[in-house]
Amino acid sequence: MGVILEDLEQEVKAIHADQNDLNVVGKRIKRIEALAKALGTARYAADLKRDDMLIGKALFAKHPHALIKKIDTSRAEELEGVIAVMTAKDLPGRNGYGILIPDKPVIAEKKVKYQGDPVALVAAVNEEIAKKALDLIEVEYAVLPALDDPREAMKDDAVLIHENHPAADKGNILTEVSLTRGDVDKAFAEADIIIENLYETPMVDHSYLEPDVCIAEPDPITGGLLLIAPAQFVHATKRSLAPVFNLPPNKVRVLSPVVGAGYGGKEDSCLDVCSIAGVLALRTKKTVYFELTREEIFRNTGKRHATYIKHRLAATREGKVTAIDVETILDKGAYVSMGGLREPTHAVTQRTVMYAGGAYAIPNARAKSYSVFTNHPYSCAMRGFGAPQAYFAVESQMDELARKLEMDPIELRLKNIVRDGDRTIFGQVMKKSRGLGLEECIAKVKERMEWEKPLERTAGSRKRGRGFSTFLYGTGVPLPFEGASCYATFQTDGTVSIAVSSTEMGQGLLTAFTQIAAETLGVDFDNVVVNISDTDASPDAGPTVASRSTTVVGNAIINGCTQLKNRIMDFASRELKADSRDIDIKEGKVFIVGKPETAVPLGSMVAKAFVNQVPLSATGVWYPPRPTFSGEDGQGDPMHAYAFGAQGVEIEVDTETGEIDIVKFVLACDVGKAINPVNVEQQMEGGAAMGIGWSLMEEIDMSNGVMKNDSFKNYPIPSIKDVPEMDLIIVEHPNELGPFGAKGIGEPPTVPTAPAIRNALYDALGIKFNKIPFTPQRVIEEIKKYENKNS
Amino acid sequence: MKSFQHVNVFSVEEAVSTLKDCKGSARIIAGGTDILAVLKDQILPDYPEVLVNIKTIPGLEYIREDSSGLKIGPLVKLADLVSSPVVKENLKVLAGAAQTVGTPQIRNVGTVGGNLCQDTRCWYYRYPHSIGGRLLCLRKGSGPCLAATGDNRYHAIFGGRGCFAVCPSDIAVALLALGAEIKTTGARGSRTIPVQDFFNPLGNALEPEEMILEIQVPNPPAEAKQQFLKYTIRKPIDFAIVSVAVLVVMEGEVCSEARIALGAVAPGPLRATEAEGALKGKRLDTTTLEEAAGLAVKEAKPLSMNGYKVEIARALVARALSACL
Repeated sequence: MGVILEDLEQEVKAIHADQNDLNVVGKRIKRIEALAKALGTARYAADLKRDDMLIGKALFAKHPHALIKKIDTSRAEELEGVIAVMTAKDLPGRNGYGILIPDKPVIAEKKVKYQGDPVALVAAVNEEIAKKALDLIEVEYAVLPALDDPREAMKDDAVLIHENHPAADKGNILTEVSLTRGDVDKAFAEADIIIENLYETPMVDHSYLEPDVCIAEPDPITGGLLLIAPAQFVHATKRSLAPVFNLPPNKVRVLSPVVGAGYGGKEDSCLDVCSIAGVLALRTKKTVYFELTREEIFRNTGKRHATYIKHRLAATREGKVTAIDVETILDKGAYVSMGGLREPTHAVTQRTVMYAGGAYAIPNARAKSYSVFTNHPYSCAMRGFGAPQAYFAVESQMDELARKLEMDPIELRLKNIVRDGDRTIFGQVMKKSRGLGLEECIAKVKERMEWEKPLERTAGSRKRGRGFSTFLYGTGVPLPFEGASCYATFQTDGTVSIAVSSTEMGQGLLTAFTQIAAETLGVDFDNVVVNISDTDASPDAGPTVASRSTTVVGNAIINGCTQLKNRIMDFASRELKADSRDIDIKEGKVFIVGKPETAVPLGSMVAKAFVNQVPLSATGVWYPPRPTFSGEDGQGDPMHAYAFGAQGVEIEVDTETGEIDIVKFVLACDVGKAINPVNVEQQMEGGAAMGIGWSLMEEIDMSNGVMKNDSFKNYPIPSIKDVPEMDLIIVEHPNELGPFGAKGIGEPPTVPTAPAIRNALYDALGIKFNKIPFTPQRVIEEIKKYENKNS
Repeated sequence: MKSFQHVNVFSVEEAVSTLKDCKGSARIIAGGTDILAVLKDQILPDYPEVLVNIKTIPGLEYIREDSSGLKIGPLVKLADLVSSPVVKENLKVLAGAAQTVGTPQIRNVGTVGGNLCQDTRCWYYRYPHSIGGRLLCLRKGSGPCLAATGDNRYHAIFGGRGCFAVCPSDIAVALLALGAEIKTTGARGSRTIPVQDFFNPLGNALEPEEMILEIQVPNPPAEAKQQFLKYTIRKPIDFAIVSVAVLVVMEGEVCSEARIALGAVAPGPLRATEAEGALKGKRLDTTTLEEAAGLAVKEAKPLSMNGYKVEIARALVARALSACL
């Protein structure tokens, strides 16, 4: 097998030898906001609602695709208690917004492109009147055929959804991202084995607990606006919406309190609610409260891109993968959102190309992804950002190859994984110095799964099977501006304030940032407070997405804190009459190294520094090596570091009822360094649970642009009983550029679950399940088909 | 939600007279777990002006044992049904069915009467009015059944006539197997309706001015073994894809009586009489059980997308029977 666990452990011990003196980082510290959340005292945006606010409501499109012939709002305007009714003609600024490109209208004017397009807005003194007013608005439509399937929508004769889209390539095709490496045709011609399959993955909802809300308050002094909303990227919300309000960005302040989960969705949905509340507030000069109902969240806000993937894989008889040739069609929905443009922001479309070859060193690769408009909710960022789709295909392909070769699927993977110095299909050289723990992850999962022991096959209707998968997943966004800034401040008593525009949305970022700051400055964990998500209080830290914050923003915090520390040490050297290189700060004390009797409480040293004109605030910044990626050939170094992982599952599938039970679940992730192991385990659990939902039960059902299952009544997400006990293994191969060696862990655990379950299903039944989710209906239908074919 | 008047009533007579006075514009509310959602989504073209709150009627929340069997008041909470020692002891299928309903929160407020009267979960029927407008269909008195030609993966495999929505009540399935009757009262007096006659393809047999007064469950045969099984997509907190309640009486090695009731497969709970007949007087070996399970779904007429429900029903019948041995 080539992997000896003890050797690996020795190696890892050596890597970690210099981190033994950490006081705060790496400790299992309880989440800062956990108690307030558990008690219900934490204040989310909706908790800030006051009785004197106007209530905003939107009338959404009756049809998913239609021309607006006429809107009559006169009866609504006459209703007592209605303060304003707005249609597109009443908007103060640009009627368009979006993170990448402003193609989504605040209020649809001539045409609606999905059922989440607002056609009119109302502000009223209470909710009842606002709703009544919506009923009084009359809209006349000319209905157009609705497009559900991107494979149909990309054809030349399909009805055009956007007549003049600012970024669309051709017809309903928004964009196309390509990757080419080596000589694919030659490799396929020379291949011993070719595996070819079609894969389908569904559109799913983020299912965050906290609804989308915005409180918009006009600022009577500046004439600007304050927007309070759960948002994953406050600075981008400000930038994207300022033109909508016809305000300069410095008059728009966006504030995001603690967020009840986002999973990528609240990068976009905050724009939806903030645009509506904001224009109503400007119109009425009053504070407006706007909230989406759960059904509206299902119908209007972003979803995970559904994909249709054709995957071909070529290999030698010995099990070396020589080439892949992949075509992916993504259901874009009605607007660009985070779907990706041609240049420079390829976003989700790019990731389906980049991860088409998995965690393997494949010398020849061709991958093409098309992002195609439909009359569906816009597809946006969702935990994994295109990677779960790509990995479902490639990890299923690897399993098929192993079966064809009659080779152990883990052994096959070890023959092909990227190792130090290898290039990925996107041409990036994988470096041990950035952390390369894939082999250790594989070895550990193999051990815990007891993979060497043959599986006990049961008679009867419950069939056992096991499956395996691996991944590599980039930390951060491959955009030229990638980087982060923050403010670090010493209070005069030596306590520390960090101001950062990232979002705490349940991932534990507040706690991790506090640990990083406390460790860097040598102060107690309790003496650091991190303030989050206020555009007026902190510089741009970038989006809280892409598994980037602990790493990229964490480095900015280290940078800010180090500047402060150096100033205090420099000042202390003068006070203590020692070389500043001999001064250190630990456990809240400043001292000359080796002379404990010189220790002075940090607070008094900082106070003294303050009166001696030492500045106590610093701007911390960090930029990774500038990311590169070409949409023409898909080559570049898009991220500075990669997380790795492996997963094994053992399942029992009931052939009579189609039920799937996961009986063993082992997941190992190389996170570089676990700043807080509890947080890391929670991310692993949460991500894997999301992967289980995606694999087994979740699927948005769209027909003619209309969503049938628009609430939790008929859109199941896994309950605690659907999620097995998980065996979680943290692997730490430090990233030389990460804070204390860290890499991102937010999204990766969502990636390997679906293919692992799919491969276990194949193992149990000998049937290919190439379409997610594996519902009882699908399992039974596939078994019937298989039986009919073989009888 | 649109506003409505919420009227507390303090006697059954007052409830009936209030329903009558409102001339069809009133609906009954007990636990409210279903009706409030129906109203919030405005799925029906008519919206009641009055909700008659019967929770304020004293004396309707009892579980009483007499020589003929068990009498259950309509306001008994599902949670109380689950924890009642006599129900657990004698009516295992009923306790089992009630246990599978929703969440503890729902079982703490949801009532027995309400569980029987809840509206169907058909996703066309339940389509909310707020976006795009409610969908009209046969069940709402206008147009064809949308599931018949649409996505019918959760719909009826038996007995759909025009409308293919299924009855979502779990306890109805258990009550059918137990041979229970539902006593009602209304503007036209009282009547007793066997459970199998309570449900019809478009809802239930209650008239607009009628309410459930009592559920009467005869004593099951002594030594009867009972089993309730419910199959859902998500393990807890979900409506049935298929459910089954069985009751088996053995005399020595031979089955002297078997009752099989299927749920979520038809407009109401359904007895599988042919399968029951095939068990009577037989030794219950695997072949006999499999045969009975096959007979239980023999008459199934699946729609375009719900053939899998036939397979699940067959498996559940065999398993529930086998659990009784």
